[in-house]
Amino acid sequence: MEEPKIPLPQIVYGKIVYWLCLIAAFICAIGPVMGVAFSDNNLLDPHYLFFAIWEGSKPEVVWQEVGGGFPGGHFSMHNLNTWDGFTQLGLVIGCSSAFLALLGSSIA
Amino acid sequence: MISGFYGMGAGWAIAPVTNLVMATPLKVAAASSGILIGMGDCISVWPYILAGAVIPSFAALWLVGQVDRGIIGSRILITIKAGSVWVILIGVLLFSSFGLITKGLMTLGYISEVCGPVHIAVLLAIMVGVAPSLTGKFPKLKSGR
Repeated sequence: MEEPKIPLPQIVYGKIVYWLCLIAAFICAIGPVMGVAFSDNNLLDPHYLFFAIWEGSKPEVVWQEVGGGFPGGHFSMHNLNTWDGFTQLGLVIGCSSAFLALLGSSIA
Repeated sequence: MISGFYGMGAGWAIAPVTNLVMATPLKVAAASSGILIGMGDCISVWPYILAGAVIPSFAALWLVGQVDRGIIGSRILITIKAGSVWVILIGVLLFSSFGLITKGLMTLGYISEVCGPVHIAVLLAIMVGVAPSLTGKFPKLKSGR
């Protein structure tokens, strides 16, 4: 049976989402590991971070206690030299993938 | 509506609803639910990020697991028989139903808290029931959808 021809916008959407998610996953795999290995170069001290989370603290309390306050939603832009900022960049890429893919498919 | 009702995600609810109500083939329903959830979640997660509710080092590990298991799952979905997908979906729905029913009864005060081993036993029982469909020993389903 002849396979149906897939429309170009669908292919563009799939490819963009696929590769952006892979890039995001790669960054998010490296970021926390390096963050623990070089714990001085972080906004949130990883040694206290997981303790604070599992203690059941609210996010704002975690940021305040471990990092001295929340630096803002787009903090990865100003803190790319820290491993937290780098990891956040991975999350931002992953969470923006659908929007960018939709943009790409609408152009296609 | 189903996705909004159950919060972010709810692919386990969208796939059967799309399949049964809109008569979409099951594999198409499963793939479509992934697209719908992906788009919806990518937007709805931003208020959490901007409010500082997402801790990078903690969420990143989940993202990595979600992406690589998602890729493996979608590749399996392409090769697996539609009947097997149905049986797996029934298993997932049964386990979810068990959790929701026990939680509801607990909230109403009819039963005490269900301990972890009971959940594990139910999950294992469902997995034992679902496993034959993956090995091809399950009786053929009449539905072609």
